[in-house]
Amino acid sequence: MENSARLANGITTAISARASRLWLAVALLVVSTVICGISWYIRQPDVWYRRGLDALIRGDVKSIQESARRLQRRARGSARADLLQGAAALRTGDPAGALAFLKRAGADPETEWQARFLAGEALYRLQEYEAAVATLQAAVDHSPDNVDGHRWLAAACFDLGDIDQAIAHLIRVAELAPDDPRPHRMMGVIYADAEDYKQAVDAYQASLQRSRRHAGLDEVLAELAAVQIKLRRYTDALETLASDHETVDLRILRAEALYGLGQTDDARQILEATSTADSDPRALVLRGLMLLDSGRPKQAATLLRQGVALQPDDFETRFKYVQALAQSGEAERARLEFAEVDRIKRIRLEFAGLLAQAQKFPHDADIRFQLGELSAQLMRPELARKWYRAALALDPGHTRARAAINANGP
Amino acid sequence: MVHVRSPANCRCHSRRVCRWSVAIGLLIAGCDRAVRAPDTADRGAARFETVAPTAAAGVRTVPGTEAVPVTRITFQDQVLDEVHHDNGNSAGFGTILETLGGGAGIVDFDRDGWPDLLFPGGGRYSADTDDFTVGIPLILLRGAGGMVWSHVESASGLTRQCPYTHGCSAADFNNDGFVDLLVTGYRGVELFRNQGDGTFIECARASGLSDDGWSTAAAWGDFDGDGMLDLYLVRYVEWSLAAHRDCVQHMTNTSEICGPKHFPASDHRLFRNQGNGAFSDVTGAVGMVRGGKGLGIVVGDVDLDGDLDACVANDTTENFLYLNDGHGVFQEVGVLHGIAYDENGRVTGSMGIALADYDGDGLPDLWTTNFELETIGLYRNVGQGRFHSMSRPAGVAAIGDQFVGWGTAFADLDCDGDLDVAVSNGHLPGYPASGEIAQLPVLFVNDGHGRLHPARHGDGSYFSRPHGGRGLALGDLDRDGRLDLVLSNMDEAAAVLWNTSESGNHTLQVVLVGTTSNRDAIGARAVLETSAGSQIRQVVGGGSYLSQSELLLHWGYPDGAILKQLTIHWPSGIVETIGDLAHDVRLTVIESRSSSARSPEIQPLHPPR
Repeated sequence: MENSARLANGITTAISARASRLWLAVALLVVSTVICGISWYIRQPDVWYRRGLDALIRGDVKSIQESARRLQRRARGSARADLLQGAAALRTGDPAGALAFLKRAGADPETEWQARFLAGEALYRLQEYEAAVATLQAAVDHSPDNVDGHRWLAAACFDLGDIDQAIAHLIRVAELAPDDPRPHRMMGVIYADAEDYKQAVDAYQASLQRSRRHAGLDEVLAELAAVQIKLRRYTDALETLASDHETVDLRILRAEALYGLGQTDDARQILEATSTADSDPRALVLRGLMLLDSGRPKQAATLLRQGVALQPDDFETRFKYVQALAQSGEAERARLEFAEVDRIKRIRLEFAGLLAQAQKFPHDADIRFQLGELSAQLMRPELARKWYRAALALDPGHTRARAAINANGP
Repeated sequence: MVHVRSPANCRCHSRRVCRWSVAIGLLIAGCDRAVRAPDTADRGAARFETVAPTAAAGVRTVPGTEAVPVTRITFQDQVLDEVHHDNGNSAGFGTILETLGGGAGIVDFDRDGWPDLLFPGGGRYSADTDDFTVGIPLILLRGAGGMVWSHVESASGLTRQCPYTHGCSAADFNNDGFVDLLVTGYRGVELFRNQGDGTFIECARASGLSDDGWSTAAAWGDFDGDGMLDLYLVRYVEWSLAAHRDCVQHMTNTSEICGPKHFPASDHRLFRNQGNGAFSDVTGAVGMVRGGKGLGIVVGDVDLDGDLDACVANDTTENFLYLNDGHGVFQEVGVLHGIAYDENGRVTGSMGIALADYDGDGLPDLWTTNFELETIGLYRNVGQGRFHSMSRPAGVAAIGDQFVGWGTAFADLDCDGDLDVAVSNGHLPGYPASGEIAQLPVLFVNDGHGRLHPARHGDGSYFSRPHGGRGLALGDLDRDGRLDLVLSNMDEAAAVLWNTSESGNHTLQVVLVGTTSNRDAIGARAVLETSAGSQIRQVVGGGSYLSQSELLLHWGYPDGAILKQLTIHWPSGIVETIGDLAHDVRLTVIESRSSSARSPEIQPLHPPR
């Protein structure tokens, strides 16, 4: 009986030990299977590709590069690796290097369209706007809902001086990204630049309706108020400016709106309390006008001269300076300054005409070059460079545009 | 003579030619109706009844006035149902000719002491004339101080066929004591000499006032100081139906009437009165500049140097300021003297114009009404004929930029001692960006401190209903001491606004009769000194838009103010002072040829008490 019990015990123990070993073996098997599975899984090109694309969206260059490196080891992943490497190069400021990868990636049907979008961006960054437009247009024709494609197209069209197309793509961006306030703001900037203030107001207001919580809110409010003031909608401007935000720009604009409503004393108080009112061109002009209003043209001329120095291409400020000089009895200087006002107005008129021509002839490099020349005459070198670059983008052999860029810096 | 083909014979060389042929065909189809002048003889007994103000649906307010109390300046409006300026738009051509409309005039043509009303009839298209237009005769309504007006065109000889007319200007050009009428228009001016018996005789061509251009406004003034009124004729653009074309609104891509920017300017002209009933064209000899696209003019002594200067409102080109050298030779100084542009140095589409001292500093200030997206121009005179834009600090820019302003006048409508301003607004026919042609007229009330506040009006007021405003004339039609308004409209009957404001203030009105100076005393200025301060007024030529206001000096002052004296500076250089002034009277002052002032003729006014 005792033996039987001992035997049973032994058997049980033996069985238990065997079971434990079995369990251990099973567990080891499971673990190794899982490890193998994971190992297998993470070596899958799809995974790395997906990770790479996610990183691309996040702007995580290291992860893009890691994914690309992993993919490179696999034959199946070479096009994907090229795509990610191109993206990584693009994000690290090497658009030319990116293009080489993206060209290869574009040859594979799987990565073709993604590569084209990125190539379009790379071409844009290389200031090859016309090529960028062609590449991106083909890409959005294939994938019409690609929001970034429309974004870059808008930028490229804008830089080529094709404002209508730029607006069209911005409208599409706004449709595809209904919470994004940026496309409407960009439209506002474009319309305001073209002195189409009513459309600019609509665009800025649409931008604000989409979001009032973004980093550039103060700028949008200031831009909207500025165009409302241009339209003499001073009460609307004050409403726009009636926010918790309080920047120098917004304060000066509030002063200008109050001045427009005839509330000069209130406007003056704001300017007096604004520390940068001595260096802000808008504030200088306003203070100059107030001095003119109160019959002090000489003091006004001093401030307005500073305003002219800060924005030499602004004929409106210069015209007020002319009036101050004339009222001060400095007729000859007033005449000379008015000649400059006239010259600037003529150039701007010519500029507006050429801009319309640029819409009509979106592939005409010479019109862009002339716009660059006029911009240079208006003492706006950055704008001039933009137009010279547009001319070169349309015609790389445009020697005068190249010479102008070489003379003025890239 | 232009040969016109009918559409049936048309060989269309191009779509444009064909479209034109169709258009001309339409002209032909409607010409028998178009050339028929209204039978004014039948209207002699017509009466206009008072239209009681009604609370119209959709009463609106001028931007910036939503929160202000309703103004105490009130009017009772009387619609002159039969008084329409026909601009010919029924033909459907949509030309710039149709956009200007017509003015309104207040004159006492029969010297019965009651103002009469004058309206240019306009015109229509016709294939029977060289220029494809035919005029509609003037409308002359005889007044008797009340709301009853009688047609007297037939009896006064004004039913003759005339050019397509826009503006009217009245003055006694031959110093015979009776006001003569000048009518401007497309391809011709007409000068109706008052024969003193209630009839007129047209004498423009016979007097040397021929003009085959497109004249709009006109102003009489003695520019060379010879005691005779000369004529500044404002002209617009070089346009003809044959040169008409379609324009496209870029924003909406819809067709619109081609504006003045599409046509070359017509040079303005100056005619010197030779004193024998004849005029000579001295345009080339008096320093006038080329161009203009003018629609408004006011002449007065801008720099207070004793001679007449001219301020011209030009549409889409620089406004002119002509300073007189004292001998009738001008120097154009608009740019450096501050009125050529708005405060930003941009040209404006200026239509109406007014000159008066709104801020009480003794210097005449300038006011221009402008196109949409622009602000009204208020230019404060800072001395020596220099001006400074005050549109923003004075508060007039607060009404925004949607108005298209035309007729306008400074007037102390509430008799409180400062000048208010009335503006008639209305968009162009066609496709304005706002989509609405009728606009609210705007009244700016002077607060006495340099601010002009847009007024809010009660329901039913003429000012709270949109109109196709154009001409505006000012006068005291019922001799109650309060200034009334006459407004002409586009595609809408004209209206008389009887001033019914009950301020309790007092008025003084002065009619000046020149003897050495021109009989209308255009260019005279007078200063009324009261215990409440001094106020200066000028007798100006022209003013407003295509319109003629009563040549009357009007002062308001608060109850309790003591009248001290009235000093008159005649254009001849004679200065007269009149003391012992009474409240609420109209003085007729005849220029004294000697050093002692004559006693003025005194007529009582009948203000409400």
